[in-house]
Amino acid sequence: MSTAAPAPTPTKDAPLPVANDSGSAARGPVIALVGNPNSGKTSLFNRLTGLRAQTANFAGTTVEHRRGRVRIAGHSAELIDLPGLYSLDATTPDERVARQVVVGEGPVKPDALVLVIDATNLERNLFLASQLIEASRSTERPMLVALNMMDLATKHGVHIDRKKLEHDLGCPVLPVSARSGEGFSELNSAIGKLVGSPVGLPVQTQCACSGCAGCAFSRRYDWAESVARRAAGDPSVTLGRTTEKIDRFLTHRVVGLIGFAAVMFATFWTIYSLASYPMDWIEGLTASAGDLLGRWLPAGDFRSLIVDGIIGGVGGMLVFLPQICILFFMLSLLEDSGYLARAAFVMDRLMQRVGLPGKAFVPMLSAHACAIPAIMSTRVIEDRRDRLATILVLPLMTCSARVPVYALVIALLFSNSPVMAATVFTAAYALGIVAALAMAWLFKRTLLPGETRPLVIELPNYRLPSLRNALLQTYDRATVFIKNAGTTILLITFVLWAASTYPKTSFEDLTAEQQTTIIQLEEVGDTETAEHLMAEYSLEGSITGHIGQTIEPVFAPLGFDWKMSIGVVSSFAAREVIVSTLSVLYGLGDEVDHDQTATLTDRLRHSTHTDGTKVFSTAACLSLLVFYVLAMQCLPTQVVTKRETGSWRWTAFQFGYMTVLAYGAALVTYQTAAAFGLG
Amino acid sequence: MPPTSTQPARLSEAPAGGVFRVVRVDAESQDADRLKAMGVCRGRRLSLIQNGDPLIVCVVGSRVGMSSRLADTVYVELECLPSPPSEA
Repeated sequence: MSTAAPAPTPTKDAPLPVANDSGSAARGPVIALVGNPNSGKTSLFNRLTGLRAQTANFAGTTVEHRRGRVRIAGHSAELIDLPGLYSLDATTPDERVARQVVVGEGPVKPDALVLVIDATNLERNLFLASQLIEASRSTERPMLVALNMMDLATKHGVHIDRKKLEHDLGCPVLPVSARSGEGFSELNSAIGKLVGSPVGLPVQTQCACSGCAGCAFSRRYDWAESVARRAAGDPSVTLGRTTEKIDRFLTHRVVGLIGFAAVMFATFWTIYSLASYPMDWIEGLTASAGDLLGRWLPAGDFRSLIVDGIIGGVGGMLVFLPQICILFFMLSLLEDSGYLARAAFVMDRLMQRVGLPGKAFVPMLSAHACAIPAIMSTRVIEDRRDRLATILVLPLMTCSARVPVYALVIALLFSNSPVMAATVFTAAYALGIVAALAMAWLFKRTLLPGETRPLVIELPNYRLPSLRNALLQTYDRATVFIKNAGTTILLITFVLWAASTYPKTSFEDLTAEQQTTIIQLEEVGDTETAEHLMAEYSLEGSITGHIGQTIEPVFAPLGFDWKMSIGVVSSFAAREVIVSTLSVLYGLGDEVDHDQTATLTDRLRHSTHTDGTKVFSTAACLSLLVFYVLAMQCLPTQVVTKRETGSWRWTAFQFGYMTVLAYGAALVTYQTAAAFGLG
Repeated sequence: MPPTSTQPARLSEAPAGGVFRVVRVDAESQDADRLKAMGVCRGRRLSLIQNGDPLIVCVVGSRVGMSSRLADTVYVELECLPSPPSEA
């Protein structure tokens, strides 16, 4: 491919000329966005790409970035949003990859660099500029500066002399506002001209004055300070004043914690109150899709596969989507507003006690809605061990899928005592939290030793969050979830369906006694009960049923009978499945609505062992509850753990330790309760 | 501490409201790099906005939160203490 100088007016639809022959010619030039974490880089990226962007990993790493095709000056180009960084001296994996890309050693080789600078925080952002100018020169890739948030700077009386800045930086400077879209057509055409153009004139990037002592860092900061002074005069006095006022409360030792609790309460209230509507619709849609197809398709294995297996499995996954979306939407708003940094700040002191950084707290709270977005949001934690420890313990938090199981068990135990029911519910939540903190403490002392990285965090100025950004991020996270979790979940759903369907049990396979019961039921016209009984016998005869019966001795010390053991096995991929499994096993069919929960608890309460003792004794119920608080029992979470840790080993470890913990705790619970005569 | 004191003190023990110059950073290399990237390195000037754990400094035009464990490793010299700190 030609590496000739750019033609002044390239013909339409021909790719832009590229400065190097890194193989990008066919797809157009690659342009990398670089900038500080709070420079509004992502807003700028979103403004340029919109919905055409997608999230991908850099080859061979777990480092995520967003990329999207853009029309630049009438031609197609690829825009890459690199992870934010303060300096090219990287300390985290994300920063390392960003640095490699910038200096031309990364998995992608950009043809041009766009540095995004926050105009309201010029001095700090110019530090990175000094390093980037050097990198641009040494790799011979042209760069330009997008001076973002110009509207905000102007509002606060910051006037930036663009010509002076261009002179000092030796590259074009384009004032823009990613929020309002101001200056984007100029930016667009400037990027178009940039590709293939020669690098700028050499400029100083470190202060050479004799007065400054110290390291290269210091000289760069001095340079940044003098460049900022020349271009914008003295720093604005009004900027940051509101932030200071708000922070007097929000970072206060006591008030800050109360504020944090209030913000989180509001977030979760929103999630729970809003998510229930779409969740109901999804459940309704899944049910009617199943119904419709069930009527169309001839009865048989194929219908069962489609209706029970695939539609049920996909529905079971999609039902979490509203919570995931709302959670990410809220987190994005909080992050954009600058609040999340404060949350990490106020929680840091408390979290350090269990060996986790303050940044782990928001993921831990999020895990109370669903562990999946929580694990995905641990990326803010810089230290690998801190992040791993957090990921490992997150699924111990009571997520919303545990609620139906708790509700069932608590209904069995204390249906007529709301106070006791509330107490046990709270205790179950507390058990999850305590277990998570204790395990984190343990992991940080044994498996992942090392002091928690002490907190250093920029507290950016508060600003109005962008709805557009939040929606785009939500859309992006939802897509990632469906793509990554969806495929694996579908496969496992299929396996589980097969395991609970085969081998099939026909009427002739039943014992004479069972046959008589069914015939009698049919004779009195109670076909529904007969069908449910048949379903019960079928599940008993299936692979799942056999596994449940085989492993019953394993669970017997926990007070579980073989039906409960089947429940545990069948809910391996999704814990809430145990409710419908028990429902089938106790002859109620698999659709559990509110009325039937009552019927189910009634059935369960009256079921007895062959020796006449109650199956669901207080001890067995408590044991079952403790088991479900602590056990992994969620395949989508496992898939996400694999994705985020990059290894099946950690995933297996997470499953293993949680299962052992759940088993041990349930064993202690059952044996203790039984010893106190509750068995 | 008198406003003209030149005795280096730990940032974690410095009075809130003061403006300081960093004279030494003893943090281990990775943490020192993180501090440098935020603008806390030898010769830089910063002001302490709020003390405690974690504390808040203003450096290179923005506010930075820092755990006091890390602030223990940052030695500073007082440059000026404008008015008596608002929160005594």
